[in-house]
Amino acid sequence: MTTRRTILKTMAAAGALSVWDTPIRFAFAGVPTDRRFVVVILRGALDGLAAVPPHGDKDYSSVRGSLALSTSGSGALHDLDGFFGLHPALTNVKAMFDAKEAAIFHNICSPYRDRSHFDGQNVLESGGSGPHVLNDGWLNRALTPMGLGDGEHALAVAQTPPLLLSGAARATSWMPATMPAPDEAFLARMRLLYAKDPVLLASLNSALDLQAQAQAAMDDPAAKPNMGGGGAGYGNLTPLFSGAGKLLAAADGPRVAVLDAGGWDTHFNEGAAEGQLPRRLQALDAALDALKTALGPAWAKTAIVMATEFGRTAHPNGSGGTDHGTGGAAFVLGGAVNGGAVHAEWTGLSSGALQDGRDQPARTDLRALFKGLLAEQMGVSNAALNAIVFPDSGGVAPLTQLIRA
Amino acid sequence: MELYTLGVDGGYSQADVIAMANILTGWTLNPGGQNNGFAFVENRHQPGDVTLRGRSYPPTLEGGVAAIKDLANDPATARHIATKLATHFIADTPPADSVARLEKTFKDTGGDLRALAHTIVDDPAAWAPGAGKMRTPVEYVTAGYRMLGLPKGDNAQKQVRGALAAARLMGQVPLAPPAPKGWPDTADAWSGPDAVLQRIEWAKQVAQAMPPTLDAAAIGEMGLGPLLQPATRTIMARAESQSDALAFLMSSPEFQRR
Repeated sequence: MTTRRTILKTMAAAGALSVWDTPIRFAFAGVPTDRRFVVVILRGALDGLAAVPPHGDKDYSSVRGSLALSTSGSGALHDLDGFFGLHPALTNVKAMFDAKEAAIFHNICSPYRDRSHFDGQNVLESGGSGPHVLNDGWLNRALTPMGLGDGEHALAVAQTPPLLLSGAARATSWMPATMPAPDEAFLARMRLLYAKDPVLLASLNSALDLQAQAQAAMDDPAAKPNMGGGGAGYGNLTPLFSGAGKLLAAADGPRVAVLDAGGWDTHFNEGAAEGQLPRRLQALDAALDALKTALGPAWAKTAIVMATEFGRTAHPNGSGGTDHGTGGAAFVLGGAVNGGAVHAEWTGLSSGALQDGRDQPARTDLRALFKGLLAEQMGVSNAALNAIVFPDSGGVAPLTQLIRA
Repeated sequence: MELYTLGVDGGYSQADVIAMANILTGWTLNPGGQNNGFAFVENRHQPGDVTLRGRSYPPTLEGGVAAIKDLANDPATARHIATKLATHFIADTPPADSVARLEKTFKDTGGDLRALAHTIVDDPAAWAPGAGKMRTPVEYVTAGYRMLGLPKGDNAQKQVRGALAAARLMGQVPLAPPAPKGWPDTADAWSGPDAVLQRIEWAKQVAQAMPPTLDAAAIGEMGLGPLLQPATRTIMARAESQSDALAFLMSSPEFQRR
């Protein structure tokens, strides 16, 4: 039985509660490498077919239905290679792709095959073969093989390090003084939570209406020329990414960082070219550009990987969204990246090709991508990858040619 | 008379307000002195007998004490205090039976607050689950911290300051009510749009400060037990992260009430 006492003991053991800390002091004496490695966790299960639409697939339009993006006209997707494209909101990622600084992976997933966010994130972050097999994070276990195990070379942009960076090696955490506001998907859930509470629901709706009006005023180019959509208000990620970039850019700054971006669990009213998910993608795209800008010359030495716990169903559901799926998309970005291509063992979107007739299949193990990046970008040996960082992954060969020679 | 004894409808006039003010002239402080620092300065007292609500009181300290005792023992005071207690402990609109019981206790015991507290504890209406008193901001942040075992560790002082700042944003500066009347005691005072959003944002921030090993469902069982509603359980189970699940728990209608 879980008692109050055991919960509190667990919390104390995890060394939590650093939220109230003033910005931490960094003491990175003699950093062993000038390479930077950043992991962005997209919590909530990103819809890979929305972010990276396979518009050349013969079944794309029919499977995606109301969520299909057009290839011309307003709201058209960005074509990448004649087959895959990018969501129109991802303009900065498109520019990185064109500069061969972005590589995209499709039909990719962690080894997790069920539908729980908690367990899926546990597998994504722990690097185990199943949920709760391992108690620490693969990135933490990789710090010592990277030569970054001593000192505070790893940064979590969070109040407390997520599981990915939790473990025996030291990591530090930082958050801007002003906390980011909750994202749209979170607030949509809050409306559900208050569905039977007229008092709280009315107040929440009223507050969000006011917020939306303020946001609309800020998004109006005439009202605020330099603001840009998705750069302010609810769900703004830019301060986090920009702050992390500045810390990573410093000569004696951290070399490894973890960023968290939630808000991808789009069961309702996902939106195709415009709507909830497009606004979230736009916020992420703006934040990635801010990270690149803040990194400055260090961008050339940087590899960023963005991954999510699992994909979503290929077909829209009855409420204009998508449900928990399997395979999805992952992104590798940065000046050090061998980019400009979409990599996928593509099997199509026909009902025969979809797993259980509903999900994108998982044809590539995310651990193969992580292992390849750790090897090529951070010099982690194959022995360490298989023995320490991703135990039980001997059968999962690292992807290669991810980083420019 | 309005706030502490008879209540606004307790049966007094503007002339009675002036009379009471005259009765209290010469009542003052003598910090550090005898009588717990209270002093009656006779030559500052309004001369002459005073008539309050039809009764005459002499211009002495004893006359003033008698006036206050008469106010305290007035049936209107019994009803007023009974209503305030029932509103605070039972519901914004308390059952008439509950108020009547407290009123009787007040009259039977001469306003013994201990006896009144027992009457509330013995009242089944006070134990009804989901009775739905909205927590004040101070109660809300305190309940949240208690559920999470805070404040704790090296940052305890900062955590306390964080809770005070949060309560202030939600509309309540601890120990500094806006008027002698004290804090409002009904939900509408604390559930305005901005206040509700402040509670949600605070819940999310505190949840994000918890370690990644947290088990929001276990915390919910411990903190709310059978009061945790099925809809909240479902939304928590489907949350994007444990931290979001904890934020939903702390923002839930049932956790915002007591």
